[in-house]
Amino acid sequence: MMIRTILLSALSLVMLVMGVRMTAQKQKRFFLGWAWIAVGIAMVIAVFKPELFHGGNPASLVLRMRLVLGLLSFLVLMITLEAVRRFAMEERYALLWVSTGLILVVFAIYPDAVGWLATLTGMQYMSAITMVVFAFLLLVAFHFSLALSELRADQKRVCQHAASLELRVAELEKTLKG
Amino acid sequence: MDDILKQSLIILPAFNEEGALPGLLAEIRESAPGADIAVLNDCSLDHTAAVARKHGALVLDLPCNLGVGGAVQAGFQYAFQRGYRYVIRCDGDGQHPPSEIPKLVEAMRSGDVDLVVGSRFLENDRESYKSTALRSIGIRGLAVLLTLICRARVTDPTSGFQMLNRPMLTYFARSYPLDYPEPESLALLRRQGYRFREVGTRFRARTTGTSSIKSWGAMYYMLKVGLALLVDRARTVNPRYARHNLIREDL
Repeated sequence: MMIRTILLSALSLVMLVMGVRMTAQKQKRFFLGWAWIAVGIAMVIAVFKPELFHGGNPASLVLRMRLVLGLLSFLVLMITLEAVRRFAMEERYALLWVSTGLILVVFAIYPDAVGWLATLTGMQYMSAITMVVFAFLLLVAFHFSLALSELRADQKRVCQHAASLELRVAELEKTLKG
Repeated sequence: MDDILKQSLIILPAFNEEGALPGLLAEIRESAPGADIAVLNDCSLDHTAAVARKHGALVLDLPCNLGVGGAVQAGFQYAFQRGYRYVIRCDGDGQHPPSEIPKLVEAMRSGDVDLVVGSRFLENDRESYKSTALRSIGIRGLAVLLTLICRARVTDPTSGFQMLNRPMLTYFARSYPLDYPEPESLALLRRQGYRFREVGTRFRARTTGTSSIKSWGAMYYMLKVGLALLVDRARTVNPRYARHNLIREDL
């Protein structure tokens, strides 16, 4: 128990230091730094407030879900912005991810906002499974966004090059004939 | 003015503009004699390319539709490869009157600038340009935001009526936003150390075609540009393409 606490604290300290360093450099991996800081803080909470992750009383259950949801959505936001910064994702696709992240953040901060959805669908029972499937789909769709952006960039370059070459060939032909 | 125009390429991004091009090309020859003209045909569905060729323009015929940003960048790349010192961009729909090109050229000659932007809002000439309320609010908001980001006055952030010199061209040939490029490119060029200046120009109501920003797309436009401007703040400056390095090398 003691060893586990020390190990986890050390790990979260490493993450926090790493995150602060990345963010302080500012021009480099600015958003990724915030993601690491968030993970570090979450681990500190997990180490020093373990009761949050024990027991089955409904109040702590909701709090726990809000914490996890908040962390996940913040990570989605930061990783998306980092991908945009590195030109790995186009803004047109990033908008979807940013809005998803923002909606999840809102749900984490104001749990009442999700209340009407729950009463509408009666989804509490399925929520655990939904969560897992949802997370998986998020990862897959994220991957698709990255791949699509890369393809579009490549296609653009090829397209411009082809057009430019075509014009230069036409000019060459003209000089050869003339 | 002739010496500058002789080293210039005028690029006209065009999508389905066969109706407007003949008149526009004639006007350009009259107002900007000596400059080469290239029509950037962004995969039009009509005979834009054939009409442009018939009226003596160079045609960059893109095999697939890239949007304004991609088409204009293709023009920049061509101009860079062929060694032009200046590029003047003027939309193929006749919105930007060629008779105003001398104003851009004069500003480029006299000022220590890399990019000259023709602004329809700089002089009190708002009557000449009609617009919906929502759009003008959007443009105003964007102008204020960009003025803050660039630390230089921006009145017409969406204007595509521009003239750029070779260092600027070198940078834009390398990196230019794909759709709705104008506001983001202003923020980008400032970060790389380039300078821009606006000059007041008249705009015309478009003669043919439709705006690339449809009414429902205004929302997307604002969100996309907003996100791009936000993320640009965290991007690294690429020293290879910074102004002082390109000026020194004079590629």
